[in-house]
Order: sequence, then structure tokens, then C-alpha cells
Amino acid sequence: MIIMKTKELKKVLIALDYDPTAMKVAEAGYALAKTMKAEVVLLHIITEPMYYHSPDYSPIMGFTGTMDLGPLQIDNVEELKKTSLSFMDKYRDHLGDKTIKTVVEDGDFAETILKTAKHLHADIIVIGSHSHKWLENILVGSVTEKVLQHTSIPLFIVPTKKHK
Amino acid sequence: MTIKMKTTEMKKVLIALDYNPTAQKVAEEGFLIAKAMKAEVTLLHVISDPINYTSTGHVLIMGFTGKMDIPPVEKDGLDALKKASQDFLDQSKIHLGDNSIQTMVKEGDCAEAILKAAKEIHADTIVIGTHSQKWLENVLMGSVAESVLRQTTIPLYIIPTKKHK
Repeated sequence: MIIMKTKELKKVLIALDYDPTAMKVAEAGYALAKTMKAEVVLLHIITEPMYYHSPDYSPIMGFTGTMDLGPLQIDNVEELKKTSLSFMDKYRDHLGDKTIKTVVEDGDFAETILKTAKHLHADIIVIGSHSHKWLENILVGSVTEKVLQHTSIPLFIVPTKKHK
Repeated sequence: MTIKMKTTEMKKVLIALDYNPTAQKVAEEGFLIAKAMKAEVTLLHVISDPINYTSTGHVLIMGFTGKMDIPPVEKDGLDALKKASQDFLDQSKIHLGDNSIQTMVKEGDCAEAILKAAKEIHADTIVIGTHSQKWLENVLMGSVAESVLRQTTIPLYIIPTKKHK
């Protein structure tokens, strides 16, 4: 028997997008963090403004009605950041924990998430499996591959597809 | 607004280990998270392709060289393979130093077997490693982690096992 380096898990970074299933990711990630008595940081990454403009994403996280965004100014990054932040705040309120931190960054999804994780000294990254784009990046993106080679943070992936 | 969350209590963690030398890291990290969640641990090894067991790259079993004297595996001796796999899991268990750990050996397609085993024991989380040396290979051939991910209905905990810079 060897004595293992007890690496305590202290910070959980939960990446959320505007997909309606993101709530499931938020809840599962939060539950995980709580069992580990870890801090929680919610992260949203602003990638391409087009994403926000697509009709598929217009009901933001099932919070339709509670959030009146008005037409988004797609060329206004500051506006987008503000919107994203209040979106993250909604999540925090939903989880009912005031100690949750929220972060909004912009840039390439995979790269930014790993950078942020590093910056925050996150111990675990939580993400939903619906993030195809991210997965694609992880699996085939060359930039990501580079970033990945410099990270060793475990990923906790929450399945968000429907049960068969 | 505080809503009542369905408290997803994590009770059982399935840790999939292969013969890759980095399996030790997966075992250790998976064990740590399971402990943090106060969960039961089951170690799983899947016998898929006998070729894996004869390749020279896999001779070093889990960093347990020396401790474990596995004779060259007979390519077609499935029983021997099963025994070697069981020994490997037993060694891993001893390494983790927890007698309550369960072990399981399965055969078949890796991803499928992992998902089946998870269902069988009602696992709450699956722990799996990704090996960077085989990263490109995995992308081209479809990695186990990826196919598990595409089909799983329970969370997957992926541990990167590449070497540090």
C-alpha cells in the first residue's frame, strides 16, 4: 500500500452555454461540487455572436419570460457580456447558493475554458455532452490539442441527451 | 429563488482500467473522487482485443513492474487472459489500499462493456482515462471515452493521463 498524495478537490468550474439542457449540467455539476465541499464557478464563454442570434437559442435556458433581453445587438460584445452575466446570475439564483462565482469570457470555447480553469486553479471542469462543438474541438481541434497537452484537469461530463 | 434539487447522491463509481501504464493515475484519481463522494468503488477491466495484451508497449502493467509477474500471455488463452486481468485488478486494489473495492472483468467491445457494467452495478459515475499517446489514433479510430460518452446516461469523469510538460 502506498500513501497517496491527497489532492483535495476545491474548485469546480462549470461551463454553461445557452442550450436549454444547460440547467441539467449546472445542477449535476453543483451536486458534485457540494459532495466535495468545493467552490463553484459558473463560466459562460462568448464565442461567435451568430450563436446568440440563431432562432434555436432564442428562449434562453428555459427562462423565457423571466428575462427580457430584447433583440440582441450582435456587434456589441460589451452588451453580450452583460447579458451573459445576468444569465449566469439566473443560474446562480436557480441553484440558490450565493457563494457561487460567475465568469464570462470570450474567445474560442475549448481554449478559453481550459485557460480559465488554469487561471482559477480549478480542480475539475464540468461540461455537458451536448456541447458538440466543444467536443469536436477537443477531439480534432489542433489548438485544443495543444492546450490539452498543458492541462491535466479532469473533466466531468454530464450527459444531456434524452434517454432512449 | 431556491428550488429543491433532486439530490443526485453519488453512491457508486465505476472505474475502467486498461493495461496502459497510465491506468495507475486513473485508478488513483478515480478513487480519490469516489472517496470525496463517499461512494463505493468498482474497478473494471475489459478484455477486448487480445493483441493489446501482447504488444510490447503494454508490458509495464500499471507501474507495478516487479511486483507483478505475469507470464507472457497466451494470445488465445482466454482463461489466462481473464486470470491476468483479475490479477491486475487485484493488484490495483491492493495499491489503492481499500478492501471494500469491488473488481470486475468483462469481455467484448470496450465501450459497450463499460456501459453494460455500469448498468449492472447501477453506477452513478463512470471514470475513464484518455491517453494522449494514442490521442490521434483515438480520433481516427474512435476512442473508448468518446463512444462511452455518446451513449452514456450517467456522468462520465474523464482523467487526462498524458505526461506533464
